[in-house]
Amino acid sequence: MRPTFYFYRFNFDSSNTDRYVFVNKWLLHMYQYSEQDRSSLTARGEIFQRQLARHLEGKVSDEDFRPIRLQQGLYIQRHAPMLRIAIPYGMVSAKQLRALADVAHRYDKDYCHITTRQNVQFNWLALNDISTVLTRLAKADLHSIQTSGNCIRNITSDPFAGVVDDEVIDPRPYCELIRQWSLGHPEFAFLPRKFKISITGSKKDRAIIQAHDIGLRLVFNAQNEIGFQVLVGGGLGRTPVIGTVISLFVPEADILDYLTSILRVYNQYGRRDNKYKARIKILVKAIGIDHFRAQVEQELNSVQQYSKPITPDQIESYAVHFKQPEYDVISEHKIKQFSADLKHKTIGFKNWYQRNTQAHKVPGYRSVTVSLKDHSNAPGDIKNHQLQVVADLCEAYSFGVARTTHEQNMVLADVRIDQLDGLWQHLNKLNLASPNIGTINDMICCPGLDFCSLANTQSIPVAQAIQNVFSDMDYVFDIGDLTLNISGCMNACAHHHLANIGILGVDKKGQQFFQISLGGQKGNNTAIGKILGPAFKASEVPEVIEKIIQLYLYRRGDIEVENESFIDTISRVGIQYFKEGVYDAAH
Amino acid sequence: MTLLIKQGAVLTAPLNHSVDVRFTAELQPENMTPDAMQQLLSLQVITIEIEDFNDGRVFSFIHMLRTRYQYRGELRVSGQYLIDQMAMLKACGVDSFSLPEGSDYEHALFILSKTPENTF
Repeated sequence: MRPTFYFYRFNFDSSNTDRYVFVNKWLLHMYQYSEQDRSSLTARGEIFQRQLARHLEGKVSDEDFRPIRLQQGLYIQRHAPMLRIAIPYGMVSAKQLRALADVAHRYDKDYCHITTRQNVQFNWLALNDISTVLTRLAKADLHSIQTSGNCIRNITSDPFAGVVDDEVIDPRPYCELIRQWSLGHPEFAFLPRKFKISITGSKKDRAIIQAHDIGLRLVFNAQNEIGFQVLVGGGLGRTPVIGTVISLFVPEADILDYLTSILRVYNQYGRRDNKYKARIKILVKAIGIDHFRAQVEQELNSVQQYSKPITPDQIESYAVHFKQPEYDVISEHKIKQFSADLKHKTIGFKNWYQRNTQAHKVPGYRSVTVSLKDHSNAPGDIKNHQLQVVADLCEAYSFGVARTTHEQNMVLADVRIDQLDGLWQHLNKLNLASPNIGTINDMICCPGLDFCSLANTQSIPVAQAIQNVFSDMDYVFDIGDLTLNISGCMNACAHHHLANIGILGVDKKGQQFFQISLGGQKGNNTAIGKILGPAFKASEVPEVIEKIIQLYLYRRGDIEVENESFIDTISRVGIQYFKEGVYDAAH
Repeated sequence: MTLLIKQGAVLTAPLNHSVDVRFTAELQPENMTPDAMQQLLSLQVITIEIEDFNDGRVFSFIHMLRTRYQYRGELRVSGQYLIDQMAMLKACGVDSFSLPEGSDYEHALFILSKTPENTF
């Protein structure tokens, strides 16, 4: 029997033929909802709206309503409710961008916020408007389901999936498979704590798979079969832990069974008595990876007695949505011409080309990062009129699809080199072309005390104060690659542990202080930063950061390496040098 | 009066309130002895009383009764679950719901009408 309501269907069955869509160059190269997806979303929306109405009428207590609203991405925040919209593995169409812009304009304060898990947040909606907002967004195939709560959250991935030249296997069909499996999964909606999964298909990890509850890396085995290296128990927050490899190769056919087994062991044995010790990382640490692996394998044996492996046809039914667009053939001559012409372009364009565009697997194309780190904005915020223009630009220049990044920027992934100049001019007019990607100005920052009810410090003003210190772009380019993240509390939403310079807001007897750590890294060499020393007042932070940068620039010239990066200098010189430099200067 | 919802209808007949599994924080279904499990599986109706709606282990327990243990009798829940969890409970394999006193059974029927029949 075929279930009528997709979200709570339990026997996962992706063989429905209506999942195949006719894909040609006029259709988008991202997952397209089927009619079944839409009717399920409508049904789920009706249930939530009815429950919200009952809550507003006083028929449902706050306590009983809480898990329901959280699973719908609705937080009760400091000033107004916050609604988080899922952007599956960061892929968003022009139509969806316009729907988000429309909501920002009509129901919010003309902007929204890109989160560090590639989602979108609205911070100023009225509770009475939530139903209308969800209905409007549903028309663009957007929803807020499982963007909060103790369930499997939105699947995240590499924002350059499908276009980057070091990619081994495109992760997006697998992201979609796992998204559909996890969405509305009835067994795993009340886990001990939230559960985050990230997937990469590249040699270079851009999806922070080592800091997720489950991190998946697509790989080929010796027989040239596709499968996953599986990491488990990574995470940040109060207890940062780097994930451990639980399996070197899980065949693609078995991945859902393997995930089910991990989740089931976690659901049964994860701690529920203390929410700070409830994440899977604590369970894995407590019983040890070997014991945990044995339990998962035992569970897997049991699961596979009644489950069916995923067939190549089913995977193809997802892959068909992500077929490569019909790229134009750009002649070698044109590519050479472009490189020659680049010398004669304005310095503004050249800087932007250098920092905000990157190589594409197809000759003659580049991937463009749209910077949301302009000085006039809080990091990751995007205004309604900017969203509208990004929608137009992705249609004009990049096959109608944009992506969100965990660094809180956006990406137009498929831009022809001869159209870069035109695109840059449009972006520049809207302050979306700050040439600061990967620099100290491209900081990741949580909303902090200004919006969030969990935070205990104001992170955004600190971010802006630091940006003001580093406003001279020549200075910023000279400093080079550097990551700086600011979390307003120890929940670590801005991933400060993994930043070269991490800043953590802490409350001390009602006063805001900021603790600085150095040496964190994301990617293949993921490392947790080390705390430099006692925390600083907000007003002291910019000068401390400047001092750290000067200490780096002073020692960078030690060796015969041209432009040794900040993180490499820290690794070579050690943190003690910075500690002495910062604290001796202060006293 | 306690209400029972089964097959999309509300039954108001007096019920046998016996509980076969009290799903508390202490219960570890994995630690049930084989004898206790066999005894449970021989019942025509298994009634599981949920102590705390946040304790999501019960979803795995119900699902395992249906899959690993191939239980084909009636699965009923009672106790402190949320009406909004009925959709998930149903999808995991529950057939009938004993509703706490004062529950909004119309809302319960609405939710069940929006969710598919389980395939167990």
